[in-house]
Parts: sequence; structure tokens; C-alpha cells
Amino acid sequence: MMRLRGMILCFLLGCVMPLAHTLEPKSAAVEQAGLEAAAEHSVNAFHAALLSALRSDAPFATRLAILEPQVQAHFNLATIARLSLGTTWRGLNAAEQEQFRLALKDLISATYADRFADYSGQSFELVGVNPGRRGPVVRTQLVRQSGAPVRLDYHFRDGQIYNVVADGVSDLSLRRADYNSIVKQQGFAALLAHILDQYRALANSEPEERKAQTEELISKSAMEQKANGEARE
Amino acid sequence: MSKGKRTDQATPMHRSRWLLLGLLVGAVFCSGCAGLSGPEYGTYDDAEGFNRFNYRVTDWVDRNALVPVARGYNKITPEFWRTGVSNVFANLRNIDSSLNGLLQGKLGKSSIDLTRVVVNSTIGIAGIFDVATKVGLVHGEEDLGQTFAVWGKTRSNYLFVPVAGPSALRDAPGALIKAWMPRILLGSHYSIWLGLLDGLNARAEALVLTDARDSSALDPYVFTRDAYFQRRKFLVYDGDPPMDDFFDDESFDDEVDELDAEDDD
Repeated sequence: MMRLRGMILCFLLGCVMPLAHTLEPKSAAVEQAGLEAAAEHSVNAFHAALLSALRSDAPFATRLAILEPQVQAHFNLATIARLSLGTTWRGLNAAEQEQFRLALKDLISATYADRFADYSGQSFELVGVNPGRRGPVVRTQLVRQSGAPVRLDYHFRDGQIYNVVADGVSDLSLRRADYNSIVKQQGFAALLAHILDQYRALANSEPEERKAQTEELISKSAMEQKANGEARE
Repeated sequence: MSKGKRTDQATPMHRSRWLLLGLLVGAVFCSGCAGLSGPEYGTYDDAEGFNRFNYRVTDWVDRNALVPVARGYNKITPEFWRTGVSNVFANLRNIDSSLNGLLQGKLGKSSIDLTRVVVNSTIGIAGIFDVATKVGLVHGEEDLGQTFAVWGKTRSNYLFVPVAGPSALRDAPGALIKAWMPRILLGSHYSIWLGLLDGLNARAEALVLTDARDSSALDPYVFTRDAYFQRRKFLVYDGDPPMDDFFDDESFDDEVDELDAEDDD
């Protein structure tokens, strides 16, 4: 009797064990598929915002207002800030790190607002989603009316974009090389000042009549940053 | 000049050309004999001082002469004109791409490039219209520098060529050949005026890139250099570099981790 019970138990266990074994990778696969779908969704939302900014034919300040919340939502700014500073990052205090992160958010938003200014039939296409080592990589291309399409690969980490690779050129690697060169020559404070200058230059590169609107937005953002800095202290 | 005389001169001429080519290939491969150690397709800039000097000179010439002229040219010419000019010269240079595809053993790509030249030179009216791309024959974008990379020269030192722009010891000879391709094919028909138009049109088309550089780069020299090396790697891998080591962010984190370890000590 005991032997029979044991055999049944073994049999049952034998049935369940492989099941349990298959359960785990399956759930990992489901999780991976979920991550990839979420990443794709995120890129689509960001592209939709870029196109709406592009089509709006609005002044820089308005384009910036459309794109800034999108950059905030879809970009892993903490990782971008840390990796683009490399070893320098560790030497900064929390307030400086936050300041740098905010400056980067503004600069990235302004750069997109600057680049996506003139609509001439551009559109985005999904090429595919690859599982990366740290997170999914969403591969897309920007199709233009004239000229070859531009490949844009979005690398994800913790559910957000931390690197954009345009035709093989990695935004994060360039940022890192560029920023480290400045930090080495002039220090972190100078780097931060340069980034803010750059932000202003982008805003001021537009036609005169649009400047006033932009200036207002910048001073608002600067005040917010200052308020943030003070709150921290 | 008699015909006989000309052939007499041609023979030693040709021999010296081959010798020069041999020396060049040897030099390209030996430029790394001293040994560049580090990642493949990484950024190597042993002569940074020299390159930075070249960059400064080039930038000065660019800002004070080339850019204003290119902007003026952009203003007075319609886009279809610029596209047409760029297509004509790109069509001639496509031969170079086809040859290098062959040298790299990419027979499919090489024959597509050759077909492109045939299609665009005929239906595309001397290359003015890039019909080939529209029917799915995409430009191979090969050159001698990439061929050397495929043959094993995966690390090369940076070389900023005055006025011409970013290059590498491995890539510069190929870039020269590519630039000279219309002259090789058309002979004296590619006059100094056509050459100037070619150069001016190319500079005007590149304004988008240099404007992007100016709005993003804090150290434009470093920005240009690193973008160059990444772009070259992308081209060597025909637009599909291996995902994993392509953007090696591990090394980023390693550096931070190392600092963590130092802190623990």
C-alpha cells in the first residue's frame, strides 16, 4: 500500500516537475515580450510627439512644450546623466547630480525641438525589436522625401530610453566623449555652464518674432531649477 | 607628340604607379605594426596635437570661406539642382563602391552597385536621377578603407586632413581615390570647374551635419572624431553592427563599479 502511494506520489511529482520547469522560462519569455511591447509603445508615443511638433509649424517654445514632457517620460535621464559623465559623476554631490540631470533634460528636449522644425513629409517606420543585454532595442527608421532613410535605434534600460543610435552613431557615447573632454580641460561647473549656453543658443537660433516667447519659457525653467536646488539645500 | 613616344613613357609610369599602390597598402597595414591595442573600431588618436591643429586650421577656413559660400549656394539653387549634382557625382563614385564590394567578397552588393551605375547612367540620364534607389537597388557605400578593415585592419589612428575633414590612416588613401574617381573616369572632362561644383555641392549638402555638430558639441573636435569612428564601424558592418559589443555600455558601468570598489577599500 505504502509502496503504491509512494509510486503515485512519484508519478504525480514526475508529472508536475517538468511542468514547473517549463513555467519559469515561459514567464520569463512573457515578461520579455511585455518589456519589448512596452518599449515599442514608448517609442511610438515619442515619435507621435515628434511628428506633432514637426507638423505644428509652431514656434520653438511651443515645440519645446510638446516635447519636454515626452523626454521626461520616455528617457532614462538618471542613467544618461550618470553614463555621460562617467567617472566624474561619482565626485558630484546629490544637488549637482540633480542639476546636471535637469540640464540634460532641457538640452535633449531643446535639441529635438530644434531638429524637428520643418515638416517635409517625414515619417517613422518600425524595423524591429531586439532583446538587448540590458533591455530591449527598438529599431526604427526616419523616412524622408529626399535622401536615404536614417536608422534610429532606441536602447532601453529600466523601461526607458537611455541611448539613441542614429545611423550607427551613439548619442550617449558622443555625449560622454564630448563632456569628458570639457570636464578634463575646464571642470564640471564649466561643463554645466556650457550646456546651459547651448540650450539658450538653440532657443535663440530661431527667427526674431519667436524669441520673446522662448525667452519667457527659459526663464521659467531656470527659476524652477533654482527652486529645485534651494529645496534640496 | 607621336603615339609611339607616349607608350614609351607610359610603361615606367604604370610601373611606378603600381609600386606606389603597393607601398600604400604596405604602409596602411604597417601603420599598425607598432600595435594599437584596444577594442576593434575604437577611437585611436595618437597624434591628437597634430590633428587638433589641422582641425583648427580647417575650421577657420570653413567658417570664413566655405560655409558662407555654401550657404549662398544653398540660397540661389533649388533643391532639385543640388540633388541632381550630388547624384551625378555619386553615380561616378559608385564604381569605386562596386570595386570594393568585390574586394571584400560581397558579390551581391558589388553587382548591385554596378547595376546602379548602368541604370542611373542610362535611364537616370547621366546619373542626374537616382532611379536605382527607387526600384530597390540601394547604394553599397563601400570604399577602400572599409576593404582594409574587412581584411583585418580593424584599428586605425585618426587623421584629420586639412580642409578635407575627418579620416584615419587606414581610410585616407581610399577617401582620396573616391574623391579622384570622377577624374579617373572622365579624364579632363572633369575640369577644375566641375571639381569646384562637386566640392561646393558636397559642402552645401553637409551643412546639415556641421550645423548639428555646432548645436550639440562642446568640444567639436572630439565630437567629430568619435562620430567618425562610430560611423566607420557602422559602414564596415554594412549598417548592421553586432548589437552586443556595438554599444559597449558595460565598460561605462565597469568604470563606475571600479570606483565603487575603490571607495570600499
